[in-house]
Amino acid sequence: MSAKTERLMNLTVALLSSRRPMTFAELRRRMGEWDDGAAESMRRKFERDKDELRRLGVPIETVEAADGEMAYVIDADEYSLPDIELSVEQMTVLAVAFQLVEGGVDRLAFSRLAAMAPDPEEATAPSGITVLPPAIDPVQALTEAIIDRHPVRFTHRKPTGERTEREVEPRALLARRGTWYLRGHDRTRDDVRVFRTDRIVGDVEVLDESFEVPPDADDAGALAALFEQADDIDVRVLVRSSEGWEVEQRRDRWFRATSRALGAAPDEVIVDPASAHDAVREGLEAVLAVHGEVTE
Amino acid sequence: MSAATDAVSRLLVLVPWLLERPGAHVDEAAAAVASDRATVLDDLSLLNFCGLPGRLGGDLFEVELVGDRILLHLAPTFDRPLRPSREEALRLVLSLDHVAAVLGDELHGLDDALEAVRAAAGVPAGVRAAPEPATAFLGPLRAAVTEQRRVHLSYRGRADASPRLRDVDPWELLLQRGTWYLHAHDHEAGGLRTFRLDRVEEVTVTDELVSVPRPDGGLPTPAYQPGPDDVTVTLTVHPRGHWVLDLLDDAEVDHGDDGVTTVTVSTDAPRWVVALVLAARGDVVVESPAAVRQAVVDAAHAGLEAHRVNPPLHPED
Repeated sequence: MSAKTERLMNLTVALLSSRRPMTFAELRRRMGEWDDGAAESMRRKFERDKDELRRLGVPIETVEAADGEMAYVIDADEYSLPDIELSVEQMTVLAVAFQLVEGGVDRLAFSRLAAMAPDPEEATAPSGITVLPPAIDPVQALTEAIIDRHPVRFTHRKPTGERTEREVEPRALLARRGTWYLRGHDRTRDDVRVFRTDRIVGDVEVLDESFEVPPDADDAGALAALFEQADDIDVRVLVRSSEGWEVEQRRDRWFRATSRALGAAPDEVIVDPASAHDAVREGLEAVLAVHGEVTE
Repeated sequence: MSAATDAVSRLLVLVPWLLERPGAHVDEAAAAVASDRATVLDDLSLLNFCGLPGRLGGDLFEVELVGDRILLHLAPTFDRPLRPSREEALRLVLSLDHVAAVLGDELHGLDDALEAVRAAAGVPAGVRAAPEPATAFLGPLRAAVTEQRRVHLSYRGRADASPRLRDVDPWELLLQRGTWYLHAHDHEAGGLRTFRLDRVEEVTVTDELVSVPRPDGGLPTPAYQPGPDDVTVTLTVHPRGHWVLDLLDDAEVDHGDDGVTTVTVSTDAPRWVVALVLAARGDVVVESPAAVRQAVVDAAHAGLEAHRVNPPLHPED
């Protein structure tokens, strides 16, 4: 283990400190590594080391050297965390917030952000609450495509089961109640559309080309607004109890208010507005009809 | 990840952290990389062998331990921490998004700090996680958890047609996948139960202290577990009723050619399936079992009768 740790550290040092890309042969000479076995297997060992560093997030770039050999380099700007201006108070509040998050987040990721920032003060986290991070697996590729401005291609399943191929310029993602929503320019329909990512079938293919986002686009705002539609209605509901019917006042969306009363049948009746009363009654009649029952 | 890559991962943080804080205590260093003292001392002893001396002007690392204080000399090229990978950054920022949405008012300045982190970590402004807004019950329940006080919940479980009163000792509030849950000891059931806050209708925090406190160690995360009393229900779903598919977890779905879908779902709460079928207004049909089909028909008949005896307050023309 110690030899490997040393080798990986030194490879990082060599690639970071070099002013130009270095070939495998040069790195081998410089570091005195990968030279105690058959050329083929040593080359494979080097490739494995390089891949392991990449998995840690070390941005090793590959370029073609003059003689056609592959050469490697780390761009220091790509490697380093950019400056974050954080005060002691802000670090303290971040550390407290981070304490409430349980599982799924690499503690070291926070350490990296905190390494150059002032040390937080001792603080007690608010008690009684635990936050589990949202699932990011469905959106990892989409997020990278948003950052790099690459269009994506995927198969999208409609609720009816119908499948369509879509090519989308992804611009924003929002997680809501465990579901991720993607907003972007749908090239297939030439229009801005919102997709539920849990209806994407199979993998997301990221295209090589790039796209422009209109400067005035507010995709994040538009996504958030989707969930803040103010079409709530006031309903008055009779709720059956042991003492008879009790009156309840509710404020909800039309569909949710009527669905709830339907689901609670026969223990709830909407008495106001009349249109909601009628919608529930007609819904119950439709349920009976499809179950082969005749109503008057 | 292997032990070696773990060590490298820690060292790429530890070196710039130490350069920024000469003479730091070993325990502080261990805390900074979320590790323990022995591991950090091992890492530092390895670091002593790293570095590339030679004609290109490189140098060896040199770690000096004075008592429990660490001094790092000649640490070439590692004066900045490695930036978190995109995946790490995304996890971190989205988790903090959740905390900010919940406790932004309480944790003063978190929103601004989070924006700085978001920018530095390279997470686009357009990628955000917004949990379900906290219900009005979150505040009182948190107080009850903190003060360890017994709570009476009016709760509409999946199996309940109408809310039922539950007598619970609250243990923990959990935000998972954007939804709030309460872990509590249910006195009637005699064990841990998980309640979804969006199904809570009323909360009364009593003056009584809890009699069954939260056990040490982690609580299970809420998930549906099939049980022996489960009923398997087969439904036919017409195109307009496909929204119910999103509510049926772990259902077996068979899409037909004509847009009509057949769904098989196991549930411990047939009453909940009945409610879904009623809410689907004729777009979902129960094929089997007969008892569930009959329950739908009975509820619909009784519901119509209830509508007949309770006409609208202000009939429309």
